[in-house]
This record gives sequence, C-alpha cells and structure tokens, in this order.
Amino acid sequence: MPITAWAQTAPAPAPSPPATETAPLDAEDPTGLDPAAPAVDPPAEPVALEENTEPQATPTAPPVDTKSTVPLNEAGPPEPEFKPELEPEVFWEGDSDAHNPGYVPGYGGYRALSMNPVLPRAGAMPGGVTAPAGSDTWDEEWAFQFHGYMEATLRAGLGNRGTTVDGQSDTTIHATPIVPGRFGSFEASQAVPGPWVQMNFSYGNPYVTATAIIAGFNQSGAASYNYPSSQLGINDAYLTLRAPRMSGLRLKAHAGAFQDRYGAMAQYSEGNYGHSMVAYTRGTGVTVLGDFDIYGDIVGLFEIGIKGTLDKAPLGIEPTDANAYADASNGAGYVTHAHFGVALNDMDISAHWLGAFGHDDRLPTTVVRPGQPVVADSPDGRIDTFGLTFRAVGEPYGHFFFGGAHTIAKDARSVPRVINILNADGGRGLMDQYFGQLSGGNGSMTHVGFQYDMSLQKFLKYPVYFPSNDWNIRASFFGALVHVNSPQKSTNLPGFDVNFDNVTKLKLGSEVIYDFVSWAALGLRYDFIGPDLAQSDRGYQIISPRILFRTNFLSHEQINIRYTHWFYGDRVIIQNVAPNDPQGLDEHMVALQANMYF
Amino acid sequence: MKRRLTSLIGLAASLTAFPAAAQMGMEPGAPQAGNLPGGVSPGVQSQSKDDWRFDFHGFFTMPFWAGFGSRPNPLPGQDSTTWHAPPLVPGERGSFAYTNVMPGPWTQLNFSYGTSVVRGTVIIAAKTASSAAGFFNPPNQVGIKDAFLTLDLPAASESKYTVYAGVFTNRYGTMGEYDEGQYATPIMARVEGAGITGAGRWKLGKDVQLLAEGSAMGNIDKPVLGTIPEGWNGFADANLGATYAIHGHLGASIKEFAHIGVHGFNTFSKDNQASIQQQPDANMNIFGADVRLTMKQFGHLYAGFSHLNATTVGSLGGVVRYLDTINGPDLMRNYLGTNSNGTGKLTTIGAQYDFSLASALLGPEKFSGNAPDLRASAFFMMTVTDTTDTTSAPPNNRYGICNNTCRKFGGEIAYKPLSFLTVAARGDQVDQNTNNGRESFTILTPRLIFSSDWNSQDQIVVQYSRYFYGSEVGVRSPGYDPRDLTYSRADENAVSIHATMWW
Repeated sequence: MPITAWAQTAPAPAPSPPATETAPLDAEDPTGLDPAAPAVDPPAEPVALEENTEPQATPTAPPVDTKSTVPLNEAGPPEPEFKPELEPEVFWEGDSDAHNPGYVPGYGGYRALSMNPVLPRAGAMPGGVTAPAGSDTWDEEWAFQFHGYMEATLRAGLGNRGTTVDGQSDTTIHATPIVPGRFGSFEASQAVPGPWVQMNFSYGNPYVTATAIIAGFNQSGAASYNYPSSQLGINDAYLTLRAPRMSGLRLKAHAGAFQDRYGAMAQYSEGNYGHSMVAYTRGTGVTVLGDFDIYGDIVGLFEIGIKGTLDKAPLGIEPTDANAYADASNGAGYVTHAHFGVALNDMDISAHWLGAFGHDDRLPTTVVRPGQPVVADSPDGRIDTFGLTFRAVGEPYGHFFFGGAHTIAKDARSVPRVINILNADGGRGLMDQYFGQLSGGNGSMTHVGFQYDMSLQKFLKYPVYFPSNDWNIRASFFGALVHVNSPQKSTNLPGFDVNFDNVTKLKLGSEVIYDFVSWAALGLRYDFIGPDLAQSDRGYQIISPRILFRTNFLSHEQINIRYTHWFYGDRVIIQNVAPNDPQGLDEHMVALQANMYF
Repeated sequence: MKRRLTSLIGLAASLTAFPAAAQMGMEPGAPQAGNLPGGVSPGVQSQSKDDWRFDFHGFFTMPFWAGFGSRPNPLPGQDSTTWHAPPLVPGERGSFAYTNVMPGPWTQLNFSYGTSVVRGTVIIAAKTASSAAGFFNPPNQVGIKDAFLTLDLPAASESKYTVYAGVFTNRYGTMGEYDEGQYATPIMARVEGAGITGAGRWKLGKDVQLLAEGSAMGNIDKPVLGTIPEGWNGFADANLGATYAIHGHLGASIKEFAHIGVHGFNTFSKDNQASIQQQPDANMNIFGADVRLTMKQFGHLYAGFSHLNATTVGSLGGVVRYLDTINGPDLMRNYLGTNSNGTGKLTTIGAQYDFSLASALLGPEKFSGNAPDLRASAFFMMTVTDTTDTTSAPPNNRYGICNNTCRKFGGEIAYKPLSFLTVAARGDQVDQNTNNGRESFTILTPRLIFSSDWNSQDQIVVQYSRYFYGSEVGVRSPGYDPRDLTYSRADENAVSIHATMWW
C-alpha cells in the first residue's frame, strides 16, 4: 500500500496549472528512479514511499546488506564484457579503465599529462575516495532520467487610458497585465499564468539518485529585456537515498539543495492557488522521511529535516534587478522541521512544526573593523509555524484537503527565505504581505485552506473504474482564510488606507471543466478575493472562461486560451498603482498558454 | 531499402539539414547558426553515422554549513553565539590558505553526444543552487561553462592522438590520482579559454610511452571600456586586456608505474583597449616538472614543482590560472602584493601520498574496494614569493596573503568498516608566513561519511571543524567584492553536511 508523504519533496514549479485532471508524472513508469524527483512537474505525484524504498528486483541489483558480507576482494571487479561500441580503435574517456579500479577506490580514465576536460572541478573526496566522473560501476542498474515542466504564455491585459492624445488609442495593452494578485501575496490566484520552465536531470540506481534542476521564470526568446535573475540556472541539486526494505519501516532521505512543501492543497500539486497551506522550506540540508506499520492498515508517518542558506547578501550590496533586489538585511538563516502523522488507507492526518531562525551579526548596522569582531544591533529573528492537515482521497467522492497553520514571527526581519509561508519569503515577505514594514518582523497569523476535487463520471460509474477516457465534468472548489495580528496597526504610506492588525483575508473559488472530446475541453473559473473583510471596497471577483486543447483526455500537455475579466471594488490596491487611479488597472485579459510536463 | 534510405539521409545530412516536415519556417529547435564553413548546415535531427550516442555525466556538492562565532557584548534579543553561512573562516578559493576542508557548492552537468571518433560536450555549471542561495548572485550561475569537441583520431594501436577544440579547461599538476587532490589546486596551472589542445601518446619499446601535449588558448572577449565593476558582472575589470596563452608538455610513462612530466606556459596580454592606456603589456611564464608514482600496494605518490615569472600582470586576464588565482590582479592580491606593479616570482612545490591498508595487504593483487579498508593521505604545499611589494601599512598591506614563504600541510585518515559508513579525521596546518607564527592557523576536522555502497559515487559528509588561529589571522570582511582586503575576526567552529555525487 503506497502511502502519501506530506511534503512534495521534489521541487515542483512555483505556479500550478489549471485544475485539470492530470496524470502523475511517472504514471507510465512505475519503476521510475525517483517518483519524488518528478515532483518536477506541477501535478507532481505524491511520494510513494513503499515503492521508492523497495529496490528493484533485478539480478544486478541485490540488496545492499548482502554485499557487506562479501569477503575481502572475493567479488573483485568482474571480467569486462566485450562491447564493440566500447572497444573502438581509439579510446573513450574512461573506457580503458572502466572496469579497473584505481589505487584509491574509484575508476579513472587513461592517464595523460593533464586532466580530462570532462572531469569535475573537484578536489579529493573526504575519506580518500576519488571522483572520476565518466567512469562506471559494475554492480547497479544506473539510469538517466529527464523530466520537467514548461509553461509559456502570451498575455495581454487590456485597460483604458484616462485621457488620450492624438495617435493614442483609448485601449491599452499590457504585458504583464496590470492586475492585483502578485505572486507571493495573499491575493495571488493564478489568474495570470506565468512563464516557468524546469528541467530535471537525474542519474542513479535503486539506492541513490542525483538530481539537478535547471529552472527559469522567463524565456529569453520572448523577453523584452535582459532580466538576469529570472534565469535561475541550477536551482536545485540533491541526492535521494533509499534504504533497503526493513520490517515494517521504510526510509529515505534527501540531501543537498531542494525544497520541502507541506500542506499542498491538491492531490498532485500545490493546488489552485499555487501555495502550500502550512509552509515550505528552501536551502541546503537533509530531510529524512519514512513510514512505519502501526496496526493493520494504519501507518505512521514522519519527516524531520534541517536546512540553511548557502550564503547571505553581503553588506554594501545594492539591490537591483540583476540580483533580484538582494537584501543585506537578511542574515544567514536556518530551519529545522518535524512532521508526524497517521494514515489509514487513503486518509491521513498530520501535524507539522517548522522553526526558522537567524543569528547573524552581518547586518546593515554592522560595524566592521579590521581584526575586530563585527557588531550589529539587530535582534536575532525567529519564525515558528505549527500546522495540522487532513487529506482524503477515495472513489467515487474525489479528493479533499483541509489544513492550516499558526505562524508566530519574532524580530523576523533578518530571517531569510529558508521558510516560506503562502509564498511569502522569510521575515521580509511576511512584513511586506501581512505585518507591515514597521512591525519589525513581529506578528502572528493563522492560515487555513481547503480544496475539493471531484469527477462526475467517476461518481456516476462507480464502482466501475473510470479511466478518464471519455467525456467528463470535473469540478474543484477551493478557499483560503488568513487572520493577521501585527504590532503595526496600519500602513504609513499616505493615501493608502490599509490595515495590518486584526485583519481577516479570504479568497474562494471554483473551476469547472467539461471534457467533451479527447482533444478539447471547456472550462470556467470563478474567484472571489477579499484582502480585508472589514474593507469590502478592496475586494474583487474574477471570471475566466477558457478552452483547452490537448492530444488526449489524459495527456501531459495543454494549450489553453482564456479570457479573464476582473470586477473591482472601489478601492483595489496593487503595488505601484495608487487607489482609484483611473488608468491603473486592467479589467480584461486574454492569454494563450502552452504547457507540458514530462 | 531501409539501409539505403539511412545512408541517403546520412549523406544528405552532411550537406544540409533535414526539417521534420515541409514547412515555411525553420524548426524552432534548429540551432541559431548560419551556414557553417564548407557549406554544411547544422541540423539537430540529422546524423551522419549510426553509432552516435548520448552521454550524461556530472558532479555536485551542496553544503549545509554554519560557522559559529561569538558576540562579546550581546544586546537584548541577541544570542551570544552567531551563525554564519558560509562560515567566516580564512581560506578563500584563490588564496594560499585555501584547504578544501569545506568545499563550496558546485554543480556541473556534462552533456555529450558523439561517436567513438568525435564528441561534442557542453558543460553547464553553477557555484550555487538558486533555491538555497541567500541572494541571487548572477556570476554564481556560471551557465554554459564549456563547449568543446573531442576528436580521438584513428591511429595505430600503440599510439593515440586526441584533440580538444572549443572552450574547455586543461589542468596540469593535479595532486590526486584522478582528481585535483586534497587541496583542489593544480600545482602547475589551470588553463581556461577558447582554443585547441592536441595530445599524443606513442609507445617506445615494451614499457615506455612518450606523452606530449601542446595548446593555444585565449579569451573570447574582454570587459569593455566603461564597464562599472558590480556584483552582477563579477566585478568586471575593464583594465584587463584580451589574453592569450600557449603551453606545451612532455612526459613519459614507464611501466604504468612512473609518470614524469615537464610543463611550460606562456600567457600574455597586448591589448590597447585596456582602460589604462599607458600600462605595459602583461606577460607571465610558468615552467615546472612533476612525477607521479602508482606503486600498487605501496600507494600513490605525486610530487611537483613550478616556477612563475610575472611581468606587469595588472592587465592579464584569466586564461592561465596559477594556484587558482583568476587573473593577474588576483595574483597580485593573493601573492605578489597590490603595490608590486604585477611583477614578481613565485616558486611552488607540492606533494600528496595516498595509502590503502587493504591494498597493501592484498598486494600485488588489486583491491576492488568492496570490503573494509583503512585509507590515509598526506599532503603538502609551499610557495615562496619574490616580490618588490614589501608594504606593511594598511590598507595595501600584505596582511592575510601569502607572505615571503607560505606553507601548508595536512593528513587525512579514514576507516570504512561498513559499506555505508566511513569514519575519518583530517588535520591541516596553514602558515601564511613561515617567519611569523601569528599568521598561522590549524584545522582539525572529524568526519562521518555515509554512502550507499562500498564503491558508491555518492557521499553525505557530516563534519565538524575546529580552527585554532594565530593572533594575526583574519577573514576577509563580510563583503563579496574580491578587491576588498579588510579583515575581521574569524569563526572558530564550523559544522557542515555535504551532499555529493559524481557520475
């Protein structure tokens, strides 16, 4: 019985696609090396621990523990198998010694005067093991996997000029549309699809896999200017280690730079709002996750981890577009987290704790004198999040998630983005979106959310399994509520009447998809956004009809064309646009998006 | 018929590209390239032979790390212990004090495609992982670092000819058997640039092989005049000129036991577009020799020396990188002194010895690595500077750089009792000035290393490092401008968890 881990341990793209019924990435490849890595795609399949931890039963991959009993050198290197393609008249790098270990354990290539250009820029590995890349080992089934996700969008926000002059049309066209709901804010609803590409390269065997993810949230070929920080480059690089099966216990670990997400609202992705309801972590470190049999079908779940930032923005750095507005007020940050839960069949209930902190004295008020300790007067910061989530998946009723958390921030200004609450990065993100700039990073917030996804055909045909190969109507209902308490009562910006303390925020929405033929579907999404329920004039609604094209009912790709209309309240506010600005906000958007996960 | 079609496609592909289907525009995936010299078009879906194959290799190491310092007078809300990432410890890469005890993040993905005769390789690399970075620092995302062809020319069985062409890295004087050694610093030089390297091996008699390499390389460009040094451009220095290098190497391999080499490098810049028009041309020569003994059960020994002669290298770009300094100004910052005018001499010697108890016990039979083992490594490096910069007053003093004679040595011992566990300890001594013990420091590093198997290619290293400093040891101030030569107090304790894999 594969069970679901809480965290989408492998990095999925930031935004989630429309709530179409999507196949998990490795659905066609149940023997995939790392079903977590595919997490690569937005509709990422939850980690099936039981499948992951079980070594594949191939003759060449015996359990690890049997190897430990091999007498000294008895196994030895096997006789090289003659492969014509590896025995050419000339050398391949490494082939000459591919089955012939060097003096130090490891396998190298042919000795020349210089190192081969393909060898990594690396010194000796700790423990006296050398690192000759390009060599092979003889005892495991190594495999290369390539997964990924891409979405590319054409977007046009249509607005009106307040006044026009000769040669100007009254209608303006904006890319990116000028609408509320910036990524990272509570109001984000994924109404405006964004570009995102990630490519996951994995190499490994049943016990260990390396994954490196290259990502970017812009595509240079379509960009209007060079925006260096949108090209994230190597975004993640991590190991996945799977322990051999133990009686009643299944274990694996991730180590390196990766993301853990807790409280994903959808079955295979972060849901229709594209954020996890508890929190997610970023940084380098280790997360150990596992499950164990309790009684019958009852299974216990646990995850524990620690992470930290690789570095911090140095003192004196100037925040610019190029460095994504680097913030020297963020110190080096660390996060520890632990999660425990119980699963019964397709239901699980879980408790979460994440604690992030920084004890860095290299902050802008730091005094640096040669040879002397650095001195800063900023207090150490801390963010704690305590969460509870419930998830149920069952035929024919669908998938249901409900969960939330309570976050307490104390002097959190210097805590960097090792922790992320509702896509708000670290203490600075919480101040920008919830507590206010004068809060000092202090405050608390309770955030809860739900999502329910159902399929009409699955319901009608039950108990016969419906494989999604015919017409269908699918529906999703979702919502999130946040209550904020902050020492800063309201904004200090003149002209903006925005409260921070004792504020309740609410968003609700629904999406219905009608799959009428295999290659096309019609959809309609509705969203209500209330940034402050006490200020109803700041709320607004969004309606977005759309048509989807694809190659089959359950294909991995989609071209969708959508029209979106915003119905604004009298005082809707977005960054850089003053309230009531007659030419500030676009009311219409048309967009064409192509996406695919693989 | 199928064979005939294939051969026709192969023939045509050498002349022009085949689009997937008739269309009025080019395939979006077709390379952004014009017609190649010789009338050949690059078509990504064409291929001229049946034995083409794709290779994917790579390496990454990602550290969780924390350096622990202390606040002498913590204020309310402050803990007396501070946490730093990366740890505030001496030994920036490029300085002599670099020990590789706690290597920084590095990822490289090698994509290759080719036949047994020719391969194209593109290497994508980064010095960070964006999801874990405390800020986005564009130079850390190196991007496409190398792109080169490898030609293994058909030759008689007793000889071998290889040509590398494109942008790639050559490393000479690497102290490890298959890697860059415990200090991750080549003794001779690291050569990075665009160009060509040819290597040959000929058999002379039964047990002797002659080896030779020759190369010409250069920068692709130079920082344009008016470039403002900023973080996003890696503090580009418009004073650097376009730089070129030639280097040649001769060696002999005797019974696959002794490998002897002599090396010579010349790199120069004669660019009139440097921002200081009156500056003299830059020139740097390196010559050296090394020996590597692969002594079967008695271990692996490397020893080498090199001598550098620099003349006004203030405008010298980073093609030939001595002791991992990135260019002429960096060589001045770390060795010659900022008041040296870029002129001076350096002599370096280095050695590394690796030993495996299991190999010794089993010898001369080869040890597979599939059993418990005790391994030990000892390593040493010393550089003598000969420079006219004897300034001792701030801010252009020689504080914290290799001064007069600098020396470092260390050892590591590792016991692997289980397939998944190694217990290790490493000790390092660094003397930045052998005439002044106050500039010395010592590092002790116990380690636990977890891996998936005896001969696995993965590691999770959990280590603690204790630094013992002399009274005049500092760490470059918490800025990131490499030109910043002010120093502050260093962390005395550091922990790290490195996840590493190579394939």
